[in-house]
Amino acid sequence: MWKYICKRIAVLIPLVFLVSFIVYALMDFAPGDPVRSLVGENMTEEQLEQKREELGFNDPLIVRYGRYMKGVFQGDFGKSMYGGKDVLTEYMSRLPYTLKLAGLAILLTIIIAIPLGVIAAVKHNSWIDTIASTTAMMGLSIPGFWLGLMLMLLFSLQLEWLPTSGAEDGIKSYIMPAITLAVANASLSTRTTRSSMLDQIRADYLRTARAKGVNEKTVILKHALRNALIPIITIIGSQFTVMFSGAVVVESVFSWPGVGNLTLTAIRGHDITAATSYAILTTVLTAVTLLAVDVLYAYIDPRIKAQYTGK
Amino acid sequence: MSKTTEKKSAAHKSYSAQIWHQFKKNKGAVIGLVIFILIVIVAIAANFVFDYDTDIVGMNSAQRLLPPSLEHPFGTDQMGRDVLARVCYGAKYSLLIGVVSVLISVVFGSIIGAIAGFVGGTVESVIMRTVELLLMIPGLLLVILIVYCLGATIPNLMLALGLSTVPHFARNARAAVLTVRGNEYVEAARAIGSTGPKTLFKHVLPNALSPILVQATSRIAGCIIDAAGYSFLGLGVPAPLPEWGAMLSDGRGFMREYPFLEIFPGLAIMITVLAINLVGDGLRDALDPKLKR
Repeated sequence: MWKYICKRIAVLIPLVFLVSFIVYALMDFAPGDPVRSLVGENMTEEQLEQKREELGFNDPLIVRYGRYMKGVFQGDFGKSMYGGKDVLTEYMSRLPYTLKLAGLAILLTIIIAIPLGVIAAVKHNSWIDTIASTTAMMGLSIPGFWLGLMLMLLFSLQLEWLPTSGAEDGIKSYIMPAITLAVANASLSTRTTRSSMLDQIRADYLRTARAKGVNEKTVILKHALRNALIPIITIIGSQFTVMFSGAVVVESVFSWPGVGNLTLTAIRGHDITAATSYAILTTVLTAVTLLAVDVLYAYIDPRIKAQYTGK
Repeated sequence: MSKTTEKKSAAHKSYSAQIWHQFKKNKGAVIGLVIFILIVIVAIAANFVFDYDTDIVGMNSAQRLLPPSLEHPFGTDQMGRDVLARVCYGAKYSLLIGVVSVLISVVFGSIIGAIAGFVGGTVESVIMRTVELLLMIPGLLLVILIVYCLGATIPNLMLALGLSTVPHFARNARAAVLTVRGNEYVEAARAIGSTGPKTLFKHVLPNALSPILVQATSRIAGCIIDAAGYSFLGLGVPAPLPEWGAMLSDGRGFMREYPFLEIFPGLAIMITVLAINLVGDGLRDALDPKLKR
């Protein structure tokens, strides 16, 4: 097991190089002069050149990248070009907002999707199944950011129950962004739960369990659901990680102070160091979470544990 | 008696006719297909019905921000343009972006994945390790970066959306090729002297297309949502064009007093995506009877 975990962690090294180089090079390639946008239009050409030299912008790309990566491997993620804030500190101060929002959205997803998917599968082809499947299909087709706008229109602008944006109003601020993120996730998870449960319900071991007189509730929850859990956890785990970076549009709609919005601001501000560092941090966070999900499999399914430890 | 004739005729039907037969049985899929065809017709007709310069990107200050009425069923926007006209005209952008982006992913992804699955050995390991690495890069970040660096235009958005899902298609294509590779007809093709590339592209890949097609359909729906989101952020289709996400972004400042500006373009996205998802589900069931629920 440990060998497996170490192997997965070792992959992080090439991954960090790949991500950082892609982001660094693309940001460098982007049109416009980051130094000029930093100092403003009023500086003379000489002053601009001096500033460029000072910030090290005159070196070739590969030299600057090498210098940056040396810092990263010593734990120095650089400073933001604007205001000179430490990039790592800034990221860490925003991360709790993203994690709390993602956690709440996933909690909602689990509460809605698993019971709904199980019921839809157990009552296959009944009216409950039809309603659950149709709702899931609709939820999957709503653009998240638009749903956010519509909720905002109703609950903030018309009814004035919830704040339109930001995270200053405690739990009230979390309600709309979390629901917005949860709808698409819950829809997909409901569909996955339903189809995974349908696979199990037809299996022979369930018939055996029933024949032995196990009551129906135990058959469904203890036997079928436990075996149906792997694809469900896969989907929910990947949804959780996607929200580290993928909530950019929703974070932007609600002006959420999370890492998605932070990264977007860095990219728009042509802040090469900050954008690259945020990308590295998000990628590592995603990879570690996915690893945690894979380790979780081993506890749910001994067959998978055997795969990790064997060979 | 009639049952046996039915069975016989079914056996004689071509593969596509069989798929169509299965597809037709799914009510939702047929409804989705009808809606989708209607949207395509609207997208084509809008080019001829509306004048681009006056109706779509023009300015008419006398008609600013009128609520929905018989004359303007979806109201008018802050530039006095008819929202219905813009929504209809915008259909082509979403459809084109969805289809072209996915085509990019399918072509590159299938070729890369198919080569990995077909050739095997070191080539396969190198390709698949790279694909696994690429899969771990947050795709959304990549799209934003590519569009930001190359400029917010429709072709750049298509390219970015397409490239970001190439690894997903490559993984799926490899799995599909692996299931087909061992079949007897592949061996037969080899035995009669078919070369490697010819065997791959003529015999293996066409038979491995079903899962790729299913993935592509659902990705088109996802792409339309994503593209609208990027345009909403200002990193997609540039402002005066009536792309639905860009329209939502334009109207946001007027949302409190004129909510219709935010409702109709969003509904258009949702209906289009719903139609494509329904078709996708129908295709999945028709192509793989084992998956039928």
